[in-house]
Amino acid sequence: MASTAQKTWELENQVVPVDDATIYAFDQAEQDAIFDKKPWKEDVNFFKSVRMSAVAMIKIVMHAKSGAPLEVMGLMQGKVTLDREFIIMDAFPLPVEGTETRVNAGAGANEFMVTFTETCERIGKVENVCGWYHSHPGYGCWLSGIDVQTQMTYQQHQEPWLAVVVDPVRTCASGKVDIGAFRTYPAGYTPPDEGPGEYQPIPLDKIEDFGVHCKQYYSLPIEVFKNSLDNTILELLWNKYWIDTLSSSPLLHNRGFCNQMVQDCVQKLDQIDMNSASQSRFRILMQEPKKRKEDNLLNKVAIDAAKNAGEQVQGLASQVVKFALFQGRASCSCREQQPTPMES
Amino acid sequence: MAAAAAGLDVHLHPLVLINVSDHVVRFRSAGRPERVLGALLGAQEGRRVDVHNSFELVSVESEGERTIDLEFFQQRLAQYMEVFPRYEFLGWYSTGSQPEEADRALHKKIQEVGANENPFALLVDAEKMSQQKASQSEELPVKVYDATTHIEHGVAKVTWNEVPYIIDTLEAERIAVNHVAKSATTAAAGYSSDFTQHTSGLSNSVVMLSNRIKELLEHIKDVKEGRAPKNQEVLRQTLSICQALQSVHPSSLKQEFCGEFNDATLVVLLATLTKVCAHTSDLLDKFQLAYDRKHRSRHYPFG
Ligand SMILES: [Zn+2]
Repeated sequence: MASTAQKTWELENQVVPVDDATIYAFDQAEQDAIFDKKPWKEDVNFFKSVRMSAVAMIKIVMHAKSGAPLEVMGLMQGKVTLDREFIIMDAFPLPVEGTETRVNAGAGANEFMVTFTETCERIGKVENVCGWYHSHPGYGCWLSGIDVQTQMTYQQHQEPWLAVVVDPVRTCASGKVDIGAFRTYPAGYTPPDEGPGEYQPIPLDKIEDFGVHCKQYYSLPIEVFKNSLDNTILELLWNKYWIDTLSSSPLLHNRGFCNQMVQDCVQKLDQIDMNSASQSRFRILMQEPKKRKEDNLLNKVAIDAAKNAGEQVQGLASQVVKFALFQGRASCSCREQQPTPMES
Repeated sequence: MAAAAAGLDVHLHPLVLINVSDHVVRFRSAGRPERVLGALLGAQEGRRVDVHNSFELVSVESEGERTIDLEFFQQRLAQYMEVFPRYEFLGWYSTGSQPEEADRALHKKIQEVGANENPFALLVDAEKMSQQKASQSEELPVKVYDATTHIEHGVAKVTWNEVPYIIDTLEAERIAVNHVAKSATTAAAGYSSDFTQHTSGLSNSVVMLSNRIKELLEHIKDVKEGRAPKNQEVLRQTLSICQALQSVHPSSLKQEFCGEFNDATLVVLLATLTKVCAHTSDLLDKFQLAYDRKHRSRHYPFG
């Protein structure tokens, strides 16, 4: 096992093991005090980071996956600290699914939520509900216009409140959990321009929605923590599920998504092509220099394509290993050259 | 019923274990030493049982009797059914190394109210697990039981039969569990590329596979030289694995592999072309900028 690698990583990233008592300690008075103080009113950027329990993380991903290709929604329980952190202890699903327009808890979901949370104390879960999660199957983690509206309303009436978005399709395609945590700014607030953040591919039909609202919220880094028992279980589990690492076939699994990504790139390229064609005609007419807006888009499509290609190469690596293992002696002529993943 | 259970194929998913772990540690931290109790959810199709999810239950233990809050149980069950309509109630979980006397009555009670005639019992030995230092050969201290009820002297008696199970992970589940195991932060992008992580996972698995094969080989050598007892079951399984390897049709596998290889490299080629386009466009722009400036400066020397 790569325990040395893990240790190195933990040292590099200063992962401090937390003890169970601190994790599960909950003081309602302290929470009330923070609530009375409302530090998020003075500082719109008050919350800086999110810590999420292993159980909450796995529950959210699995719920999102079970709902795909539809969107699902749920709530999270946890606490906040004066260290500007959200600590998410657990999550539970709501009986809501549908497309973006419908992912908005209706009356039925509210009743569900009330009866669910009322009884949580009896099984030792005393934390308050402090956020919602929903899934974006295949189109990345960001907040849509409706999401921004929903989150703003929550932040007005339900503080402290966090929004989490997870993409189960991209999680499977890239082999790592695609999840994001967000807080919205109050209406009318304009954040200082920090230049473009970390780029992520957005499908063409969602780009406008993304572009209009992307300055209305900010994202928070998520760190996962484990309790003492989780650590042992996870190590023991690895002794079992390593087989799945070999037996899974990501290429087959993600074929549909890959096609979708290629199509999306083609559509984006088409659009750029059309725009630049009409622009160049205009330019010849007016004898004006070319506007520097287009190439940016072209670079973005290149990044999208490279990401997709990288995932394919990743899947291919699995297949090559399997082929070499189980079909080692039969040499294959098409296996002479190994492509390298493109750096984006 | 025992015969039916023997043929069952139980697949246990990691979320259940992590959920139990959360339950146990939460109670322990709150200073509640009692055994935890919860319900198991999942899907049953033919002989295959998948335990996907679980939730906590309320129970009271006094004087050797465990009573379960039925109202809470039924409400929660209905709520989970609403969200996961494909799941059904499969059984209950608790902590301990083996079923206790009080569990019999509990099991019967659950049998009566739950929508399952033959629920499973999952026991997690949290004590053992907490002390354990995981090493490669150690098993999970988790046991699955199936109960047989038979009438003895006019009284229904419950006997426990241990059921073998395997750990199963779905694609998304494996990724999530791996993510948690490495306790990676989404912010720590600088650590290493996705590709490196993926291949290191692969290489770990291959090492694991090779270790297992070595172990098996050692064992068979020992058997051959009379150093180890002959276990027909193990030998039969080993033989069937070897035969399975031979029966894979090499040409069809190769064809499939080549197809996948070509598809993947085609996507890479497309991406490369797109990137070339973007770079060419960049270059053109720069060229134009340089040329335009020169062009203009000749006309407007002071502009
Ligand atoms: Zn959304």
